[in-house]
Amino acid sequence: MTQSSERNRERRPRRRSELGLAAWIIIIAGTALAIYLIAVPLLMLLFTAFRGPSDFLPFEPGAGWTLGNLIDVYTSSVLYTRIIPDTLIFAGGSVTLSFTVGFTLAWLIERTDLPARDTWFTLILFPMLVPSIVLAIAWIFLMGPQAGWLNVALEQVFGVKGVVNVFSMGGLILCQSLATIPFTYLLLSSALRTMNPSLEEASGASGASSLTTFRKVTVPVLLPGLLAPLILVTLVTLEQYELPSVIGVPAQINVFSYRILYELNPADGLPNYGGAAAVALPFLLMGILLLALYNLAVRRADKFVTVTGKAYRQRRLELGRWKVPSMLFLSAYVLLAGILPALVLVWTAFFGFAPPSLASLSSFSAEPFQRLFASREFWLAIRNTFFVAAASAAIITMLGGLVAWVVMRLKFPGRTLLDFFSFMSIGIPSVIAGLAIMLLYLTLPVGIYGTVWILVIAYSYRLAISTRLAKAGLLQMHKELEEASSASGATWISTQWRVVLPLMRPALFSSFVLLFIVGVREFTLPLILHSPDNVVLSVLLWRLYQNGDTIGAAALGSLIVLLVIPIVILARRALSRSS
Amino acid sequence: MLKVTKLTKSYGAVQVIHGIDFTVPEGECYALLGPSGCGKTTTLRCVAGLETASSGRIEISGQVVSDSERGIFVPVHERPIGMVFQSYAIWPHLNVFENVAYPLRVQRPRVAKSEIRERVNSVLNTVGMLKMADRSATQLSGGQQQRVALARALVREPKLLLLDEPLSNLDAQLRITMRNELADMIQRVGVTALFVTHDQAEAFVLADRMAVMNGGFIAQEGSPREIYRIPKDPFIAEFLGSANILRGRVGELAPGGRVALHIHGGPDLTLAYETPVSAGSEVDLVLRPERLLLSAEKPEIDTNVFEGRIRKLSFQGNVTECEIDIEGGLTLRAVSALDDDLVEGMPVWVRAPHATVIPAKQAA
Repeated sequence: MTQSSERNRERRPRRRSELGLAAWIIIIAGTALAIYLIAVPLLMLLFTAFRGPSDFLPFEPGAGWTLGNLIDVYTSSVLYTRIIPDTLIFAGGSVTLSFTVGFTLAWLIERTDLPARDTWFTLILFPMLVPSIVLAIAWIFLMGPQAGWLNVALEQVFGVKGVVNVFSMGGLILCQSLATIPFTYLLLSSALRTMNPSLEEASGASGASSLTTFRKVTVPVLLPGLLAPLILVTLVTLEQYELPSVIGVPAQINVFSYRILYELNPADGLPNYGGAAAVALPFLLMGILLLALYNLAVRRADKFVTVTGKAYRQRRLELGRWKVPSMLFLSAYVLLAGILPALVLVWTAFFGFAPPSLASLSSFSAEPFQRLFASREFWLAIRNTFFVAAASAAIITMLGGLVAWVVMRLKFPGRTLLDFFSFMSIGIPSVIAGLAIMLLYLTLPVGIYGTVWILVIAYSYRLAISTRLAKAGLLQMHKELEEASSASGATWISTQWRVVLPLMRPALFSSFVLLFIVGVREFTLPLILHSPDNVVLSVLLWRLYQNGDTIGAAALGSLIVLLVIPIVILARRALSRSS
Repeated sequence: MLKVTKLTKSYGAVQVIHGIDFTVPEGECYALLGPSGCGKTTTLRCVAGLETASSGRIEISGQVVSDSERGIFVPVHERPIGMVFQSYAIWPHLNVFENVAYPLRVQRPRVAKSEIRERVNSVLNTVGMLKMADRSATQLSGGQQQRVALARALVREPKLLLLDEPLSNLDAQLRITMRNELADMIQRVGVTALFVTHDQAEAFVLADRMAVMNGGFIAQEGSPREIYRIPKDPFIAEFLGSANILRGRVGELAPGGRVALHIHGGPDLTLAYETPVSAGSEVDLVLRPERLLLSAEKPEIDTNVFEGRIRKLSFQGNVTECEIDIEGGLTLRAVSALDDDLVEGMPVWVRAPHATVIPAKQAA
């Protein structure tokens, strides 16, 4: 303490916080940025729904207040006869199927003596890391009504034609479930892992058989813990755009996420901004409602002390004669969701569209790959994909960490609101986020529209994952570790830099990796905001496919799968840390 | 020197400290002792600056660090303190040397690297951890962590050392060893220290002076010996170690420091008293079990003697605890190191060489 500052303190009494000015600037700027990234686009969306004419941007000269958009959308019968029923059937069917299969997989791997559990775990994870658009195209190659491999195989063996048709509600539900199962599996396996095994042992010791124990103890105890994953899976399924557009649209299935994009690029010309915003509003509301329900469910599950954050060493059930059927079940999933799609892409890229046969071997050609490598767009897409994924993951991880710290360590009245705000980002379907961002930056004269920066900003609204991981990390960190630093004479910034950040590194690393994967997979946002300059791999793939270059799409798809493999290893580390 | 004046602290409507005053002179070690929830840790955290006092004044070495009236609040990192935390809070990402060097590394203006090395090594030497300077913090035992925490608190030569339950994280055996070493080290460094504990033995060994806290007030302040021997009220008496407390009425004052004491529902007693009593007053007689002498024959001294019968003996290794029935259905607990000739059911005389009489509280 210098003399002058002491004298200063004596003369002019003041109350000072432990946080210095710089600390407050960082906290306030970070919090404001977090709110801006989520709230401002949504506000814009809200305005747009009430501004017209509908092909005008909300604040373009000539636009004014109107209820016309809402009236147009909500009085049109297509909403009630097609969009709502299709959305509900699609979501209901996919959630049911993926939950059933996901639970079975999780139970087999977590609670039975199934061999090679680690390998299964990795294989199950795989489809979650590949962009859905790649899988969608692969599944079309596999289950297309005429030339799909499965149909050709069935025809050759049983002589029946066109049994499997991916372009149907059933096909869409099957594909969406295959894509969502890894996510469901992860949520459920952590619920299973945190169940106290002595509850089941007590049942056994009371004379109950394994099956009775499962029925009377395992399921009832797990039930409150299953509600939250169920809501989350519903939310994630509802916001899907990739499969509904690639597989659903040829089958005349019209879910809301596709509808929003359709309003933006209708077959007959001018973009209908107001209409798109009006369609988006109720689904946004539904997302946020589901999220509030999720919060409630989590809080309820917390009341059951039996399912805590602690992982137990589980007693494993001996499968016995069920071992072979169980392995077959797992193989079927892994084959359909991972191995066959990868194979069909690679095969098609090298040998063309015909299913594997001796004759088609002669048509080997690496030309599609050469064509890709020679194109400027391909390299641009690679650069953009990784840059946007890495930049947004870094931004979100830092912001999420800051928000988590503010919520957990600063006692200010608005913190639960801030917490819910960041959490709410899960409830915003990416189609709606994309639309909102587009409206905002078409209106704001900042000149980032059409550049990669708008993608970085758009991806960065997903704060929830990193806030959650950072909160978990902070929870594990004893508060005295920070206090010891202050008591050693360190300023707030010094404490963050020298103690909090290093100790949070594992949590922040997990958050970065997961968000990087989400960023690489991203399709809907870059599609909505797409321009020649900011093309990413998933969008490039979609364009090749749409322009009829199926073989080129297959080649690009195989390359994406190849890129994903090292990420699987990273992801396994990140996931095992976070759960 | 630490001076705390009229300190209060409330959380919302709940007041946890009710205006306490105490002073720790330069170089003394002062203990705040009390049951959990008595406000001792909150007091310590207010002194550290980790909590903001609701009102009152805190002065460290002549510098006012907190004064509600003048609106002064010096944040924790600008107070001239060193602190040992209950969990030790050793940073797992830094090794022993870097943990201890930390306060110097964050100091501004910067401390020269050579000086940091010198000072850290010297303080590590003081706590006996110099050989482990390169050890990772996660490989330390509880006792070693405690030494590192102490070294870290001392390295920047604080005006005041704060210790929050410094021994409660250690197992029983180690706690006794470390208690004595800690007392040694604090004394050797000569730093002014304030520490918080719920264990009276720790306070007795470590503190020059101590305050027993209860319900947000200081119930009694003094040297450990004073407080143990002459507790102000039954709560303090019982908190500082087990005690037999008998309520009675003082009778006639007799010459030679003797007085007749009528124990309610029990025997009459001739009491030799050390603290002043007045005839006819209600008092509590405090008898420490380990200070009671047992004999099979009637002792020659006739003051402070009870006649009774051993109801139960429980052998505890180093000592034997006896429950002794005395007149009127009352029971005395006594602890004896010499138990060879004691048997359950035998008649016994109990003499208390030191008996403390404290005025009975009306409400209690």
